[in-house]
Amino acid sequence: MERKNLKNKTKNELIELLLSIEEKYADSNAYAAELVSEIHEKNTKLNEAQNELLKSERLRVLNSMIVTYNHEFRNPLAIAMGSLELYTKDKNIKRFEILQISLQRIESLVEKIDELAKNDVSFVNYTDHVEMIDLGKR
Amino acid sequence: MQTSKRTILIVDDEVDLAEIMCFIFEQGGFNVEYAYNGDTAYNKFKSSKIDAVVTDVRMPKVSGIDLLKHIKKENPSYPPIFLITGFSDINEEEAKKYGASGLFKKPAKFDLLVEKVANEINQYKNK
Repeated sequence: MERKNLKNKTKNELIELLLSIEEKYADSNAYAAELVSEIHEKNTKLNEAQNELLKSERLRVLNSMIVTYNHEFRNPLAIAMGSLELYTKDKNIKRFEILQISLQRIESLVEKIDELAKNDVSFVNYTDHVEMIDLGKR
Repeated sequence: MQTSKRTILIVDDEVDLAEIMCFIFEQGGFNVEYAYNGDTAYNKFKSSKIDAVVTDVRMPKVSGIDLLKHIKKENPSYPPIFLITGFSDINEEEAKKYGASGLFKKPAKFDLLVEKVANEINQYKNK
């Protein structure tokens, strides 16, 4: 009799254990699904953030490029145009020397900017809040 | 347009451009003083009788805006000062708030610049 009781007790304990395992398994499945969903959501947000960062970095380069263009090109361009204008007034052949130097400055800038496509760009502050591409180090 | 005996101070650290502007203004009938930086420009302004200033904005040490502020601090109404800039550090509205009479972008139309400066000087003189 005692042995039969012991057998029943063990059987009940086994059933409880099995039920407990089954319950935990179901819980862990739900937890795993929850984790997968969370990872997916975080991955999507990370991708969005990376895209935003890339977009913002491209805009930064574009803005700096515009500042660089304005700053670096306008002076030699003004000198070149001014020299031509002066030549029409005084026909002084020396105006062409200055014109040539200005055009060479522009040519050199174009070459430096061409190099940008092959290398990483670096920035320098143009004003406190405005950056330009650093062409000086090239 | 009366521009004779009026003296204009040209300020630009781009020497060739300063010389071009000097020539253009001389052709327009002005006496011309020039400086290649803001410091020298301010000293020339203090020691000469200047009727108008045309200055580059971006120059090492003393910028065109600094020069404008120094001059206008002493006399807000005279002389007229024109800014000329390669890159728009400021727009025309902001330049006028500082007391500038005008803002020109490089490459400027020199004839228009000379005309504006002459008109501005005449307006001041007729006040």
